[in-house]
Amino acid sequence: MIRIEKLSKSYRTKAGTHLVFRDLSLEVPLGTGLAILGRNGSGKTTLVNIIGGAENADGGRIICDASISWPVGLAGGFQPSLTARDNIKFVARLYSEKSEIPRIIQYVRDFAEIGEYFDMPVRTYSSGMHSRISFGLSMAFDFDYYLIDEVTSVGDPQFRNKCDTALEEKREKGAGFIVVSHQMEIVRRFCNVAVVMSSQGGHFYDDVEEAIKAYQNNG
Amino acid sequence: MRRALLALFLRELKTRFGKYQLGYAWAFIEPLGTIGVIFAVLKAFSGATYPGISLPVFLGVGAIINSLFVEITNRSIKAIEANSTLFNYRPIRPIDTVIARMLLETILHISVFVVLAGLFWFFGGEFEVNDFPTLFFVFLFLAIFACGIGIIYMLLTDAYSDADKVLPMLNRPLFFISGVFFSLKNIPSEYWSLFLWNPLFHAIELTRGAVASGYHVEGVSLSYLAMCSVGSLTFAMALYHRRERRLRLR
Repeated sequence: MIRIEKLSKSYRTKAGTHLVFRDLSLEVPLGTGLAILGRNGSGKTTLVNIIGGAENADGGRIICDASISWPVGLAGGFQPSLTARDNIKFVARLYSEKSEIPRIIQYVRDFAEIGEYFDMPVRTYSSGMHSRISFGLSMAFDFDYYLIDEVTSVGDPQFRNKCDTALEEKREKGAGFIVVSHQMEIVRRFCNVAVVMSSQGGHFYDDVEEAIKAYQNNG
Repeated sequence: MRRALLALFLRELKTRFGKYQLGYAWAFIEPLGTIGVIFAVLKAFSGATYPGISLPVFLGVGAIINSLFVEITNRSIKAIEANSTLFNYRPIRPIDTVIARMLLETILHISVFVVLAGLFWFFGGEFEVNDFPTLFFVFLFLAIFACGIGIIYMLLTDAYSDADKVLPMLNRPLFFISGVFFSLKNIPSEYWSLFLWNPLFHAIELTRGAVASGYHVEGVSLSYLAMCSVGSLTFAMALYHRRERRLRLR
């Protein structure tokens, strides 16, 4: 379960203090999904980063007894001069036991299907190949929650289907999701509850349909 | 070792040398080249003699110790910036990136030192470790001292963006004032205090004494080096704990 209590975040800018949200409270039980809706620049990624631990909030608490993934398909998490294999090894060392590492490498290799490029430096990859590796890497681990920040339209249609299937499998296995997306079909499929972000801060809805309605009316 | 630290360490190691055809050999060729150049310059222009120690050993020790400090601190400056996307991986704390680089540099320098010792021994130079504990503690304290300064540099760079230009400049004169190519004996004793504030000077002279039994060391002390290392690390950690939240934000 992830529970957020009275979370606040603001940025100091030259023009003054910019409030992202204040006193935001919400709960995402295990096996359910939270959608984060809002226009560009409304603070969706900030909230994802805080839940994922890459940023700190100014006040409030996050109570979490589950494992949370890094943002699925994270761009820039790879060292360009190293091969996909070495980059995967690095992440596998962070998140799993030593004995698991070969299995993880094999999984990503099969998932990405990029042939001998797997053992070439990541900087030689096309953006499609890059996302194949990074998406496959996220799927190689069993997290309680997956952070998904707009990664839906990567690669060719065939690969997109594969990603869909992989996420679906995770959901059936009981994983939860934190989703930022402008595609409502994805939001509906993975999420039960939602936060709508706006210039007034964040508003929590325990019914995702209500949230979508509110977001589209104001959008 | 913490998992995150080990993972970062291995990643740094591969990134640093993976792209060269000679790979890890560069770790040894580079410092040997530096030593060779100073050796040639000193032979040509200076008549200074150092009783009880052969010139290559004298210079080799100075160059390696100085380089250990300079490399650790210079590489710490960019450690956060170069690794900032990695903070999306929860197990990694900002300070891990600095410690991983420090460990890598320390191990590299010790390896170079060992190789150099082997070369001296092979070519019949006078190189004999007569005081292993001192040697061990000099490297330990120096690495800790440099790590503390490195963390402070890293935090300064985070707070003031110009620091990444200024700090490497501060490091450069160290080569000339740390006794890389001279010793206290070349200086009148009334000027010693101009040099002895510098812990690097202590580290270099102590190491020389530990590997050449005929080399007489005076004026320097291991406890001063120890004090500096404890002081720098304590100060660095206090600063770091105040700033860690901000570092994560980048």
